[in-house]
Amino acid sequence: MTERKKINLPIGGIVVVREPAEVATVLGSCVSVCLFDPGRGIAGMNHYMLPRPHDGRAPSVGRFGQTSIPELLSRMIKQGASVSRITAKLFGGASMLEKFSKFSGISKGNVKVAQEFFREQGIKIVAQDVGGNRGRKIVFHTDTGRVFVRQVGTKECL
Amino acid sequence: MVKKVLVADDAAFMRITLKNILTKAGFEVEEAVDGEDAVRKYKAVRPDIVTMDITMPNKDGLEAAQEIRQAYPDAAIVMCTALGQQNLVRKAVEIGIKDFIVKPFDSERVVNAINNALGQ
Amino acid sequence: MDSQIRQAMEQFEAVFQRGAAAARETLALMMNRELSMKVLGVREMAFEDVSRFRFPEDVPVAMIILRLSGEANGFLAFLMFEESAKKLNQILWEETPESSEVLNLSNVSAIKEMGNIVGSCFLNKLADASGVELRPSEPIFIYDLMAAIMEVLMLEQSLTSDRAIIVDTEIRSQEEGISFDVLFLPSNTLFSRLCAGLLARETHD
Repeated sequence: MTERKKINLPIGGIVVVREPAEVATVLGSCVSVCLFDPGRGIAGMNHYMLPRPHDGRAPSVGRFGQTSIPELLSRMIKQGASVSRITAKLFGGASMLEKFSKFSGISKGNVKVAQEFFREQGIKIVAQDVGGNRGRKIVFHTDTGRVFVRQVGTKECL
Repeated sequence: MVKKVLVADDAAFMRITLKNILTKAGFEVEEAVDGEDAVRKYKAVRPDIVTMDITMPNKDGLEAAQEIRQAYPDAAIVMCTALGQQNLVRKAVEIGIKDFIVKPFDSERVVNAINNALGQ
Repeated sequence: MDSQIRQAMEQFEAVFQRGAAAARETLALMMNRELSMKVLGVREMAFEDVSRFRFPEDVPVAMIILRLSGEANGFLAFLMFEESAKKLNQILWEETPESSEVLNLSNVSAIKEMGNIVGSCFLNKLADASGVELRPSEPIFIYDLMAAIMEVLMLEQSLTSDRAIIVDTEIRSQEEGISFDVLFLPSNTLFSRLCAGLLARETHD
């Protein structure tokens, strides 16, 4: 049985690992991208809140999909991962409490920014569990590339 | 003659509670679920008095009360709300509200307020 | 810390204490039970810490939320585990234990309205002491993972700030095994407005 290091990824976080780990996070309208290069055993994950900066400034790279996803990919490549081998999985982007928020459509925007980026990069999205109106806890096993998804009342593995 | 009360509140729990209290006190009760519904039902039902919550979707209670009072200057309205803030009480008085009950209330308070407002 | 800000925060806490006392009385009246209530003070923290404040981030919680909107926005939220929500609901509806289901929509109306009435106790005191009108939305009920809900609430705040201000109040009914937290999360703008209002008025109840 593989001993995996447990990593908790907060909002705005970006992590790249080369060892067996369980990277966990909880997503509402935020999105996490899980990238995996099976050839090199390199994996990475992020957790961003918004598609792009509000007014052109980006105070925190990790908070926006537009900056966080390229940063994640770049760190993986620096570690030796190859774009031709990397696959992506997307999670999150739930529409929760939309009538409360000034920003309806944020969750869809978060998903779209990832899909568009990977299309441009030629990286295949091999699985996604996005949308709906419930939060998700995801746990990314970085040695196998598997992601476990839990929602209130359900359990899934993608 | 049995007096008719229109209870306007978006919370089913409050409508049920008030309906129980008022029916026991001998009133006939109609319900409205938001501000727009309150205005619509007032015109359709012409109750003797209205109990009006403030925080409701589709038009709040102060707006609905103002609209009713403008169309029917004799309309008797009692505010029944959790928002007991001085500035809101002032606004309600300006509209011509008969009383301002802050939740939670006991049955006696509500029934007395309605009877006083009806001039009984 | 600037002495004016310190003074405003002390006044803020004092007003919140008065709101808590009113809330405790009100809720005890609604439930016909004894309750303890404690204001744990005004805190400032990073957003990711809000996501696991008082409750683990990956645990489902029942939350009743009042949104304060307009230029100066924020939230007042009641947080509890499912067990407390069911018991509270039961007491409010005076139902038998077997028939109480948290996610049954007709039942949720009672705890939502509780959130509205008790939340307004805090907001009314704050409004009268500061002169700032505080108009909450109708209450929303949600049952989901703690961090998922909090991140949606923090979304607006996050555009202009890295940190959140929280005022936490703990409510307990030992006998009934009910326990919940009331969190007041003003935006930085609302917090500044409230503090300015408190300093300007310096009212005493």
